[in-house]
Amino acid sequence: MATWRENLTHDSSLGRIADWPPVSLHHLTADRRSTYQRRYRAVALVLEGKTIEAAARLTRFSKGQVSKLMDRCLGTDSERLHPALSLGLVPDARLSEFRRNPQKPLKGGAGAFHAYLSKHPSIVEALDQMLLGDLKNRADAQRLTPKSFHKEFIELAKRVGTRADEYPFTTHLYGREASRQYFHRRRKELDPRPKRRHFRPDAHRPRITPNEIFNVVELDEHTIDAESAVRLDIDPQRVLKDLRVPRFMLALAVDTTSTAIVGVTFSFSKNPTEYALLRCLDSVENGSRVAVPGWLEPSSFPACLPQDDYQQIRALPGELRIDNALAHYSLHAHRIVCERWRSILNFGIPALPLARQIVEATFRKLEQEIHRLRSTSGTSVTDPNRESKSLRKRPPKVTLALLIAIVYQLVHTHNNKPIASFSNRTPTQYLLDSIQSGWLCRTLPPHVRGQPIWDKQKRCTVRNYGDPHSRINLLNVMYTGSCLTSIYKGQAVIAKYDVRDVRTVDVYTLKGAYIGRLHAPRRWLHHPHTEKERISIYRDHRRMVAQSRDPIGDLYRRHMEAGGKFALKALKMVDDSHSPGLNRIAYSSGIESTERNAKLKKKRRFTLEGS
Amino acid sequence: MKVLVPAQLPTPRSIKMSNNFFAMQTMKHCEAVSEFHSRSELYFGALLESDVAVQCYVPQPFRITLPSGRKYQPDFWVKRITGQEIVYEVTTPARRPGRPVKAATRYLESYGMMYRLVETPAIFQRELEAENWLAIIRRLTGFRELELAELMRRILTLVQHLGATPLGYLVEHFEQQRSDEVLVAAYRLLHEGRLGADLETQPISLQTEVNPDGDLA
Repeated sequence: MATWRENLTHDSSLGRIADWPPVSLHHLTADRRSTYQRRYRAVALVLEGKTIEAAARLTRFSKGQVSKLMDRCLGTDSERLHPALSLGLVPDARLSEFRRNPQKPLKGGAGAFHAYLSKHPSIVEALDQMLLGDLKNRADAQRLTPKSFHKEFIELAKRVGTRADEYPFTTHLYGREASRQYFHRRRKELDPRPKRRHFRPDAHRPRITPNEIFNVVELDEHTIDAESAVRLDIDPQRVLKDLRVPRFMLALAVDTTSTAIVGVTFSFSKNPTEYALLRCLDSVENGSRVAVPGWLEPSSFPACLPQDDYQQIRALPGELRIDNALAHYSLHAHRIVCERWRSILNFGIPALPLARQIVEATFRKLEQEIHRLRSTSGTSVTDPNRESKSLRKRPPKVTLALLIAIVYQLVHTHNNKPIASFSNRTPTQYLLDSIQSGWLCRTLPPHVRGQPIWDKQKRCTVRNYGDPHSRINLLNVMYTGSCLTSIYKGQAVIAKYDVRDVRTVDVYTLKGAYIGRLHAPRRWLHHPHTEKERISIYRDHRRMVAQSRDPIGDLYRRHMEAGGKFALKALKMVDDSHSPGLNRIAYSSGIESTERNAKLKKKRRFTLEGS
Repeated sequence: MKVLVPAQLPTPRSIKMSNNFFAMQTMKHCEAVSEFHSRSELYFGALLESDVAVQCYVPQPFRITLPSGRKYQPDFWVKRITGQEIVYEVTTPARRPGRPVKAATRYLESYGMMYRLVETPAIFQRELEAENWLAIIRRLTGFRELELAELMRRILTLVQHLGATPLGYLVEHFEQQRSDEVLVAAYRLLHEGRLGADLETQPISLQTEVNPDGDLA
């Protein structure tokens, strides 16, 4: 063991605090950052030659604290062979490996899992055999998951005679987490197979590409774990209900040359959906802008190159790279990319996310600010830091609108942050400069420009069985209209509709002449609904459709009243139709709405059955 | 004489997921979307587009059963303007020995077609040229229906008069026309081989010079 003075005498270079390894203050909380800075000042003063007393007085520490701090940074002992230097300044940083006190009873606490395993080597051996069997794909071996591994561990613990008042039965949740971590670490250690590296020459080789704006755009979706609240109303009682939204899916489209985010959207589903992909493609084509009343002015809030601000760098991607998610095989999306944009669609090499490294890196950057790791921050059901039941009855203070606004602001910041490799230019400036220097910009042909990407068309036959009006059968219902006279009976027509709202369709002859607008039966006209919603309602709730006068409203209310995961289904219904007419998302503070709910409940004696 | 009609076989989802799949519209293949199962196939398609001697081509044209009973699906069917039909298989040097060259050659000869192997290193040597042609094709397919014969004639006359002319100069010179239309007209002349440009060594941009030394000029 050597004190800090002895170490300094031995190696005077340790005294130059400016040469100590840098610490990323960005990753510290505000409190810890302030403590770190005070500690830094105290140590710097002592190293400059001030007395410990003077340094303590100037930095509002006690003498003993400064002395301990000097030892923490520059001292060494049997476990710590080298001085910790700047790591010693970080509050609560562990400088040496944790060792559990062997005298401590094995009831739980830090290091209990390893202490338990060292006490029972037979369990370690049995667990290793199980892992090896799984890794070697033995016919009699169990295919292990963290859950089944933990179950086996508990069985083994019972078999060796562990009492019910001993670890791991005393702290079940900690034991499960420790077993999960052990499973992954030990599995890696025991894996007999050589580490395979996917090497595909055409994925890693740097490519020279034409000087075209947005030559390659990568698109990907990530699930962001961040709790927020959203307020939905139950029509027609106008009673509001607050929902917790534990996570949302963020989709980004990133230009690989400039690293600018050219498309962004979000969705409440866990997995990527077709409509989320279409919204992202829409955002790539037209730019996006979000406006949240009362928080920020829309003009200060451009997300990713909105059309009116960055008209000159609005261009179509040359090649769109996506991964193998099921929603990415949407025919509608393929038609947009290949036939509308005339771009190249690429699904990439399987199991090689590095092929889309720019978008993955951008996600990593954004997630530093908004993503909360489920295993550490109280968002997981198994986390002991999870908030209390009473608190969970209230919606989080962060509303979804605010969270989305933050995401859009981060996207805006990303697009306008100087990058050293671009000679301190921002991605947006880089794109503008590229255009100035003669880069090509490909835009939509004029005949396509007015058509929204959400339009879909189907060929139908006009039916008439003696009724006054003819009709077409489309998406499980009959569309009628006065324009569709009996002269079209038996003829094929083209029905064109917006997939986000299928209440009406426009009908054209096969030669392209406009016939008129048809509408769905009256009971389907109450709420805008998507094509997918109609098909899924017919598929899953056919009996309800037969009896209901308002299938969409009834299903929505049913989901809302059921609560829990069904309420999130109601949210997804709103999400899919995404704003046109369906104003069921209220952008306001969740807490206000709770108070309003209480008042309304008192006043109206609203019961769920009464709806 | 027996006839083998080439028509692009639809790619099953399993192949789309297990390969580096590409889909795009092309000029010399009349299907709505041409499908390629690797980047080397995509580049080969682009190089076929650049070849004025190629009249049309079909990727994944047919599945044949060789005399040995083995099912075989070649990568490209190409028809040249001379009427000659060639079937190409894009392969890596490592996989070359496994290709049924003799059997496929004999089988396709009975249909009046030739069989050729193309190795991927030879394609990747012309990577920049292929990328440039992909950029050209992307713009041309978007304006396929646009009538630009008069503008093309004026551009051809101007380039023959001036010699090597940057694309940017053409856009500025015909400022009464939309820049898209001028570029499409110049690209069509390049695609038809009536104008030439150095697309092998420089990425295409507004500085790229077109010259009257096209393959068919």
